[in-house]
Amino acid sequence: MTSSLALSLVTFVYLGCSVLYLFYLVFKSDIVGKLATWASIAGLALNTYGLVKRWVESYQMGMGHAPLSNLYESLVFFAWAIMLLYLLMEWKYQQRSIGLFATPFAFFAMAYASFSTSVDSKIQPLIPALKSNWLIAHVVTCFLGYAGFAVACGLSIMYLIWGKRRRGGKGPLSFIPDGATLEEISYKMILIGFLLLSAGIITGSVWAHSAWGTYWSWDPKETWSLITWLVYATLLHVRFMKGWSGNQVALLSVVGFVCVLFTYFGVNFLLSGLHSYATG
Amino acid sequence: MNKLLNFLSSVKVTVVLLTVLAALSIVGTVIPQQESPATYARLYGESTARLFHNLGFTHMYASTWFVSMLFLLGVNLVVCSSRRIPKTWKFVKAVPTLKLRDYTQMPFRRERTYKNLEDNWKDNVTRILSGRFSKPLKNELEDGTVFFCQKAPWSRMGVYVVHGSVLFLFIGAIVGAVYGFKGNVNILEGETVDSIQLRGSRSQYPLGFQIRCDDFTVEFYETGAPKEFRSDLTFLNDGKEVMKSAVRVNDPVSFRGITFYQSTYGSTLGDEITFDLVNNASGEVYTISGPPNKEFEMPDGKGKFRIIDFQSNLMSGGMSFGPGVMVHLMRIEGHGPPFWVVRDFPELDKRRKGDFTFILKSFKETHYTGLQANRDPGVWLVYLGFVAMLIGFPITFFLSHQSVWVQMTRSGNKMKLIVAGTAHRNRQAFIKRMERFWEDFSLELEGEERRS
Repeated sequence: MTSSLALSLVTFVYLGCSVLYLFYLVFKSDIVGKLATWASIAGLALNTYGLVKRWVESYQMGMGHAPLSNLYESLVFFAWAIMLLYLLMEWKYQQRSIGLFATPFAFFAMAYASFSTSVDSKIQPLIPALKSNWLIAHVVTCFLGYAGFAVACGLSIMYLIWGKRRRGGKGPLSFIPDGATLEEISYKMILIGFLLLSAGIITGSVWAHSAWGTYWSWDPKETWSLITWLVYATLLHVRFMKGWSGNQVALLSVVGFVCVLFTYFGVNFLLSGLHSYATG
Repeated sequence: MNKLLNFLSSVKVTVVLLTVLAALSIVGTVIPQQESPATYARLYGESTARLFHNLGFTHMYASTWFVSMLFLLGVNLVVCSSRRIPKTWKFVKAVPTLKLRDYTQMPFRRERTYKNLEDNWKDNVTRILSGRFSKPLKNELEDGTVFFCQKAPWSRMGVYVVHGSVLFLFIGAIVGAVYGFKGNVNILEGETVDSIQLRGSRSQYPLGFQIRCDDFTVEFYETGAPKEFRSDLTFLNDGKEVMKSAVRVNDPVSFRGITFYQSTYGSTLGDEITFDLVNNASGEVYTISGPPNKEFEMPDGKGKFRIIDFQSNLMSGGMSFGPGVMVHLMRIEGHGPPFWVVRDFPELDKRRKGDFTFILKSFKETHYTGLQANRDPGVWLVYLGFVAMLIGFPITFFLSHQSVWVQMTRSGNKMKLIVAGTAHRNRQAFIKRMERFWEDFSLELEGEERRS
């Protein structure tokens, strides 16, 4: 199976996962829930296969670089990272219902990569600026961080909708964890995201220093990653030191993820700068 | 003074500063930075452009606003941390006095009663606690025994490692800005230079040594995308070769504390250029040649012309026209607008309907490499900050200072066991961990009980 076929299939698997998690909540069926989990694991496996195969294919084409060099490849990796973090979280906290608010992010990323005409899915040779050992470290840390924030955002949306409801009951909501648990897991995801975003900014900065001679140049992408960092740093401070909780923190988490999305997409299309190779 | 310190060390100020910095940064990405006044006037109109300039929005990250916010954040960090560190350090070093208590204030507390335990139960408690947490302190009192152990008390200091790392970034950036410099230099192939153009000023910085560009090459992939830019440089001292090295993108070279990066490239005209000028009335052809930087005389005393630009590949409307020069005519009856003369389309200039049609016959082309050169004595401080931050975050986020007490009191032939504990962070996870510990621990003691 070629990587492009595998990755096209992944899009549909992730759509299937989202639907299964929805059915799991609506019909409160444990079997459907297990099915959703296994479909997610299968999707992640196929996604992994697609990434590795694409890497191998690039070597066969004589280019030989990790599949992390343009918008298409970053979207595929983003989807992979979201599913990985989500499944780890599902396993650790034994909370399946969150899948409904996590797997769609992976599906949207894959769908955008596969169906948008502005995203070029061809394997391209690396331009000189990207030929560096820092490429892998930078992209992997950034996107795992983004994925952490994506899952946290899903959890925060759940909190905003259902966080204050009463426990118990038999409706479709009975599978949704209580507010405190949602808060706790979302907070964990934000910590992971913040650590990895910091690592991503740092690796990018060290890389920029070796490529362009300056570790920080206020390029729009750099600046927006800093803005994102500042938003989450604010969130951590108000939560730790000012005792904010509940809806306030959940809202900040959603705002933070909007900044992530702007750093990722908005900057590419609305502002110009050094990261132009991530556009197409 | 104390009031001011209280204000500066408040988290409210931290949050306000972080938010304002984020907002100003957004403005800085929306408004193009460091453009010419004319560009701003075109984009926003005269008066708005002037307003933006006065507010510092056109050079946001160097503006008084932004820099003073960063400075205040630094002060906030220092005051905050220096006020809290002594208290935190006390917590890190403190060992509670081990006496009999009932631990009702602890977030985790369990108790149960045993009938009788084997004599070696104390050794077992020590062994189990050592395995799970750390070697316990033990205090044997008349009515019972108290064990105390803790894990990672130093993790309370993690947050100061993170805050310290941010200070390192600030100090490193200041050191770099004050004692370092950034510059650019273009070197023609074969040319030797001994100074660079400082960025943001008109002055040249004398290097104290010379650099010669021996060769500049661009390699392309089959797709036409660039594969590698490489400059072969020779560093000389008083004309004597000291070092030869290639500079590529992502692969800079340092010489005597100054680092050179491959940044751009281009080409200029070499020392001779030849035109054919066709008189459009008579069809007569004149050949004119000379160095490209001089003024050329037109035939028939019609005036002069100069070459004001050169492109090795002229692009227009998405089309590539090949090499071309821009010619500026200075005729006696007045100057016309400058026009392009391209080598590969000799007929093109006919359409201009001038006295003469210009044909670019031949020219020499010299490549130059564009290097960025800089010295930043603050960069190691910044990197130290990076390392500290990456060490500090996991400590702050995922570790906690955990304290565990095990107390056994005797009343008659019964033994009452209490296990209690607290963590300064991540309490939920700690309580879960303690529940598992309690299960194992109480079961193990039960085993001791049965055997007796």
